[in-house]
Amino acid sequence: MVFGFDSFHAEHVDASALWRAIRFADDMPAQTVMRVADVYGARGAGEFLASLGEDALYWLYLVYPLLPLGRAENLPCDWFVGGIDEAKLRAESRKTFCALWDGRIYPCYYPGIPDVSTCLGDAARDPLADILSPAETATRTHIGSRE
Amino acid sequence: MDMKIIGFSLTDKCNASCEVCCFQCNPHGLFLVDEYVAKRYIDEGAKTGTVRNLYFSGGEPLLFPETLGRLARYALDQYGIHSLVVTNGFWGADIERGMPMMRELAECGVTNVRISADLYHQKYVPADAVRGALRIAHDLGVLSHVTVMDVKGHPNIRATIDLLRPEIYLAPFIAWYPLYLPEAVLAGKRLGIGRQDLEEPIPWGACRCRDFIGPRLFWDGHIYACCSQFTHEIPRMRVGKVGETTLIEAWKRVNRDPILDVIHRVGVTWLAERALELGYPIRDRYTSECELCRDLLCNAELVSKLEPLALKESQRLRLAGLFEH
Repeated sequence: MVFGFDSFHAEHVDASALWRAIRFADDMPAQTVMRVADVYGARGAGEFLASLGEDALYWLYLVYPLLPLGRAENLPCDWFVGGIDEAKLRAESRKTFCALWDGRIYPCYYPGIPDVSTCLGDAARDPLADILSPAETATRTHIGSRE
Repeated sequence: MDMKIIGFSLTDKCNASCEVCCFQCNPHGLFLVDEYVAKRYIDEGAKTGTVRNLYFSGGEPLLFPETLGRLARYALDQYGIHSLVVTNGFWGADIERGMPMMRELAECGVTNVRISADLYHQKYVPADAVRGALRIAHDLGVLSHVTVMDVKGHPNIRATIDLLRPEIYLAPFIAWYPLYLPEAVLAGKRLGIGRQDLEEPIPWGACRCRDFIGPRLFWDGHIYACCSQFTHEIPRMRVGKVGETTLIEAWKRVNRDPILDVIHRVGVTWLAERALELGYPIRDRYTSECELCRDLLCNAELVSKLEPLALKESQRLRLAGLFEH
């Protein structure tokens, strides 16, 4: 079970509620991971984790670079970490597809959604083979155009 | 209990001399686990049919990649057993050399590389090297996670993410632990960390033993019952010695020890509850379950009182287990 929690989520989700939820999840047989967005500066993953109390120790964290997509496009440009390994993004795109609530399929779980340029197709309308084939190219092109 | 892992603390030699190193390893280390002995122990462990992995740590095991590779290859070829390695990532400083070395190890069955990184390590291992190691291990598909040990105020998690960007994003996970130290290290004059600086995130009642899964052979020839950082301080954890004890004999000693059996089956908290009933103090919180275990089992008087209680509980649990099956 993956919990998204970082300096951005923390504005809306009370940390004590999150820790209760994580402990509850940890009693289940699933592995529990916290996914933390990273930017430069005071709102980065390191600063955010360091600000958490001792409850935050002994967990697994997946730190990923916040990308200037969706509402994050409005954040200051110098917050975003450059030089991101494209191989990582390609690997992500091969591993993960994201189906939206309305049937749109996106090439990875990076937060490029909802953004028309990365949409691979409509699960209700398009054959699966057509949806999956352009994933790598779409992700790379899209991310590359934003950097 | 089944032997799931065979641990090898391959050497006491390390390119770093971290002040917080639980085994106080450094570049002057002299010992290396005997390869012939290690292979015999792999043979013995494999014959149990329960061993899933070898676990190599140090010191810095990748100072001896040929030895590590031969052992990993032997386990893979003979028994289909894969290997895990804990390293500080120094070998990432030179991609031209690090990549073929790690590729060779991956071909030998090393499937899981864990990189230790924090301010203590980065005093000796440049962040550039660790970033290179992350890239190499990721590209070869063997990167498991980055381990960060931290103290109060959490300076290490902050610094590690800052220092290792953007390659830190390649790590599937960051495993973040409180720093826990043997008393001998805490007492070290050059270490500017005291008991008061250590986080104690675990209430004693929540201490669960996570790593009681196999014996660990140390470079000094001793076999220990678990891979705890405190294992050297606990007399009953020393269950054998090279030349005197086979791996199977050592593991039988673990299984026949009622206190270790109870720890494995129901956790160290059972012992803590009995200790409280006997009037011995237990702290409210601990840095780790291993520290609670150490505090209990290094008290000889307490242990002598726990032994008969543990024997009864161990027998009860074994019987209950029979009925469950």
